[in-house]
Amino acid sequence: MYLLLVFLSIIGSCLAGLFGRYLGSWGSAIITTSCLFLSFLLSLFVFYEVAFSGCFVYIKLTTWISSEVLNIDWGFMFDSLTASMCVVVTFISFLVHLYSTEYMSHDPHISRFMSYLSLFTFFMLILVTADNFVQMFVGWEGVGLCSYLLINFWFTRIQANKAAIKAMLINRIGDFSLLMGIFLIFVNYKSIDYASVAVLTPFFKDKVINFLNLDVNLLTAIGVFLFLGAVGKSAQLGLHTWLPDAMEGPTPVSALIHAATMVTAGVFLIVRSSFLYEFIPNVLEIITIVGALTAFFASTTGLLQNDLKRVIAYSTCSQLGYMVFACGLSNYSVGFFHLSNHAFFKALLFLGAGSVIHAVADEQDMRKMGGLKSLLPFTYAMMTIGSLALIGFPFLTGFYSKDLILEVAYGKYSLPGYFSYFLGTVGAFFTAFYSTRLAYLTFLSKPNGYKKVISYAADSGLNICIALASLSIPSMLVGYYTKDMIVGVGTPFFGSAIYVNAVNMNLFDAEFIPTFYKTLPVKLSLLGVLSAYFLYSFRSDLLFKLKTSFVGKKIYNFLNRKWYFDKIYNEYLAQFFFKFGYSTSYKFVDRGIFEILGPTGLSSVALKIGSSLHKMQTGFIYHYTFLILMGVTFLLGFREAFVQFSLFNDRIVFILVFVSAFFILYEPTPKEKSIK
Amino acid sequence: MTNLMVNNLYNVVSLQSFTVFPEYFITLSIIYILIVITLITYNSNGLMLQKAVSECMALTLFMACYLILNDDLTSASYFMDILSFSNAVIYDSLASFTRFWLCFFSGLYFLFVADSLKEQKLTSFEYLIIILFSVLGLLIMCSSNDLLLTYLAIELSSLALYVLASFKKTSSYSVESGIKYFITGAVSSAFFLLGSSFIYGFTGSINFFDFYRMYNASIYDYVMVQWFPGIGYLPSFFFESWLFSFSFRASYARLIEVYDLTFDDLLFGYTIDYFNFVEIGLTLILFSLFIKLAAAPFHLWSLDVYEGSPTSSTIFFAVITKLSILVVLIRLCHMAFFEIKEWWDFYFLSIGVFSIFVGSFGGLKQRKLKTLLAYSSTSHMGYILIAMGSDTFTGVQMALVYMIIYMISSLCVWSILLFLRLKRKNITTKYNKELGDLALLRKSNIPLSLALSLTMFSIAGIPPLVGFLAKLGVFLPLIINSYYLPALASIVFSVVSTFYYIRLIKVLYFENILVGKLYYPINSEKTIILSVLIFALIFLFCNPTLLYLACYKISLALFVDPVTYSSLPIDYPFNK
Repeated sequence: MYLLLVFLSIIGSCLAGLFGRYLGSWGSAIITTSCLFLSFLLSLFVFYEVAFSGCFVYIKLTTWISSEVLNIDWGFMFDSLTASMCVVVTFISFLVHLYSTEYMSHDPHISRFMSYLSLFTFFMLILVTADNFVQMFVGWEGVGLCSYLLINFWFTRIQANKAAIKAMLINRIGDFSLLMGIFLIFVNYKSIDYASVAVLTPFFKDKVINFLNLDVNLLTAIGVFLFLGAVGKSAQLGLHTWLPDAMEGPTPVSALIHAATMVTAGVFLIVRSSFLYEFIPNVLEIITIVGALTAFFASTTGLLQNDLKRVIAYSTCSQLGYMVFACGLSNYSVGFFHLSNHAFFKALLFLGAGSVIHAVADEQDMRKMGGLKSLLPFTYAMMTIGSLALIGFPFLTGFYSKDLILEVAYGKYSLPGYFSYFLGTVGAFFTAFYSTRLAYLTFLSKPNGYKKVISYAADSGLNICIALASLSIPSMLVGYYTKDMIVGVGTPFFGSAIYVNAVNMNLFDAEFIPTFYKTLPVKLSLLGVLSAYFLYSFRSDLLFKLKTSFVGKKIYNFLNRKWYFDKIYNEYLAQFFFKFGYSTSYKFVDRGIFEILGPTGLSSVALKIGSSLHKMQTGFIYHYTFLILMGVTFLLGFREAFVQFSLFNDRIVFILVFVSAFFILYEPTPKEKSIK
Repeated sequence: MTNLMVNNLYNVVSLQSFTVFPEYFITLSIIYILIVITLITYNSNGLMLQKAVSECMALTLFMACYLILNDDLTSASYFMDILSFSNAVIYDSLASFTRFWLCFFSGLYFLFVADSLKEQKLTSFEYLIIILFSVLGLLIMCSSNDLLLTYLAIELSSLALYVLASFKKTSSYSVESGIKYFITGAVSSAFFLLGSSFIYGFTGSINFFDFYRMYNASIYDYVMVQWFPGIGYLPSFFFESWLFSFSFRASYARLIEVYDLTFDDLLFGYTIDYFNFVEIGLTLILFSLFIKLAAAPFHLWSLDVYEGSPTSSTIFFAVITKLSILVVLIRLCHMAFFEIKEWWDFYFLSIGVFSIFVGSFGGLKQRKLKTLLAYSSTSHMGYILIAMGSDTFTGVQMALVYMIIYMISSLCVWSILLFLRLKRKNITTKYNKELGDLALLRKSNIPLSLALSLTMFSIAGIPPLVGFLAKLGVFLPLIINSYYLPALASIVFSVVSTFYYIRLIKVLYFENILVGKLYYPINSEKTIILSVLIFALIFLFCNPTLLYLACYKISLALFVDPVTYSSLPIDYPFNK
């Protein structure tokens, strides 16, 4: 049953992908969706058995690689972390499948789409259920592949192609680091399953290894590499640029992959490796700072984006930053809590955005929407619920996790803690601001779209509405209901799945921070909502003046251009590598040195030697006997010299013989002679 | 007591004739066939008899095979060597193994050439008789144990070969190649005799076993005396005691391996200077044998001789004769002069690698099929030489394995070449073939072209065929003995040689031409033999242990002490 939970999705994927042409669009949609529904039901059961009843399940399916000490199994581990992830993944994946059946219903390649979605779900489940790093890496690469395939689903669009390649390439950097981390673990631990690594880690606390001729702490190196992997996958500052571009994919894909599940894999990895990170406080500080910077950066960038999906994408990026710095503050359970909550309301937001986009004839620019409040009342309601959950409106889902994150950040009473607290709090204000801006521009303002479009705008069909409604309920309630279970003080929920060093435990401290700081995020969020609403509704002239002033223009460009990250990457890194790749590594090395030393040069040399050897066959017997005598004399004399001067008793002499033989046999062709 | 027992036995049974029964049989057969055919053809045309006579020869050789197999001494030869005819003839497992395969392949050869003699206008029956003489010489070479008999055997076979090369008197190419072969053979003989006289002059013996004892036996007996004082040397031919001495020999070999003792130091306390001259003599003999093997840089005669001689003669030169030379090399180097391996392994390795080099690169520009195969044969000899040059048991084993596989595969190739008879001849009757002549064979004769390409794949060393294992096996002893550079060089060169083997397949299968040459189909008898040989190439890949094990036993048995039946070891120095 546990295996079925994982493998149902690949069954659905294979059926839809390989036999899609026989099943038809409708058939493959039904099959994949029902597979995922079953999978969701199973995961609920698993959640009950594993998380509630506390009986963790370990399944060793079969041996994958067994080579001396390298022993890798196909093993599945279901602890409460995995079980919770399974519920989130299968639930959202099921709803996205359901949503896609309508959203993509006019696409001729719907079976392929459903197949990819299911395949993605399968790899995601492999990622979360793996019991060793290598199998986790299989899932990791698999979701990366599916992400590529799905971003590129409309492969005739050049933007989609570019975005897909960008996502693949930037993720590759992270994947490479992750691989390095896994290699380091294997080389030093001689094992790559979580259990052994977790048990052995304390013994390696002070071990120093030589990496690239630098003496570094082993755990630090591993931690940094694993974190870099997470940075790539979870779009943290530096490697985040692929995530906004990935919005070129179909909207359900954005909801499933680039909001709820795949991008959280990095956070999941950090949570899963808590046994490792707890021994390296310095790396934890780095994680905190990077996460806080991401949260702040993405929320500011989101302020001034005009593409509906991009705003939500930056919001995702920002929320991922919150999760990561929560983990960096050793509150893995809090980070994970935010992860699961965020999955619901962000999927809701994306799917709602999809519904809006559907309604306005695939228009994504918010400036060309407006006035949709009355036209799409249901979608408006859903989007509002999602936005309120996102900004942490009191007693909605986001409130419980986001505020808790900021509380524990302040309650750390350390420099990274304060740093992340203040950045996060300001980020919360911006989050509220851009969410309200989004809602205002899309729904509340005067209609700005084309008349034809607006006049045909209407709420979507049943499947989309069911999916939205199903997501809105957890977006409101799940935080309240699961708070005490997941992040309550002293809850046994995670058991051995998460290890927190007693020194780093600060939930109690977070409980008793000053009330001002405790309530500051909520106040700022509400202020953000109000100010945005006020400014956009009544003082848009002020905003316009601000935007067109000299400083305002600079700021506007800076934020709208995403802090010039793409510009810097493209102009300084990408172009350099392009030039290097073409002129140096391709033209000079591949087609130059390798070509001359390799195929072309070698074959011409071989042919030349062949013809000169052929010339030795003169047909005159006295040449032959002369050569025999010469050979005998040379060999005997050479051997004598070899005996006499036995200093060179290694076989270097052979090389000399051959080199001299080459010179004896070599005779320049007339062409070469003329050149000389 | 011991002497008495041996003397008694000596008087009762003259065992020495047992060791050369196949040679006796073949000699008598030659004489008988000669008389009979002379009488028959006195009045009639000899042409009609060619097929019958060659099949009769094949029968003779297969019966000789049976004789060798059925010999009781064959099974004994794995744990003892029997010397006879004043120690000139040795009967050991190496001899019986190689003689068996020699007779077997010669028999197949006779079956293959039976029909083609008419085609090649080789109408005199003496042709076949001469081949049989050559086989006799080669057989004697396999079991000869001293320099004189070896020389005579080489000459017996070589003289026959010269005649074979120039047998087609109407063709100036054939005559020319005969002359070339003869002159090169004379140079080779001169080297051999010079080397022999050096060795004889400084050791006073021409017997291989004496050389072996000169370098070895002293320490062996020294060990015997040390470990079993009072027993001394016990020349008993009882079964157990031979096993006994074999085990000593093995332990002694280990002693050398471990401590790297120099025996002169150990025993006499001084170094014997004149051995260097023996070594030069040995080297000259080796050169003479390398000329016979057509190893580079002594290979040039073979290109012209193989191209110029009638194809049926060329097959014999290329396929059959090399085995006996290899046996002589093994006897000389791995038995008699094994202790000065530091001296001769250099020649084996350098000439071997150079042969592979020349064989691989020389064939690149070659479009004449027979010359191409001559180059190929040179490179094969190179592989065998480097295996021998690794001076290990495994080297001998792998050289023998390689030789047998070489004989199988080259018999396939050459016989296919022989079978291709043009249907429509032009006015200029061209017997020799070029690469392009095979172009449309895949259309006209599918199985034959398949057989040719399989064989080529095997020779090139492509895995599901035995040629791969043969090549792999050659590199193994080199790696064992840390001769990495020769191994690396020959691997690289073998890549080059793969090119022209595969090019032949490309010509067979991927040539875009519409007009090709048409050939007669081949008859069922030859088809069956050819398919058995091709099957062997695949079967031996699946089950190479058969060959490996036999050759392994032989290479181990090289170190068994021989027992002599003619000259008794009465005056053996350590017999107290």
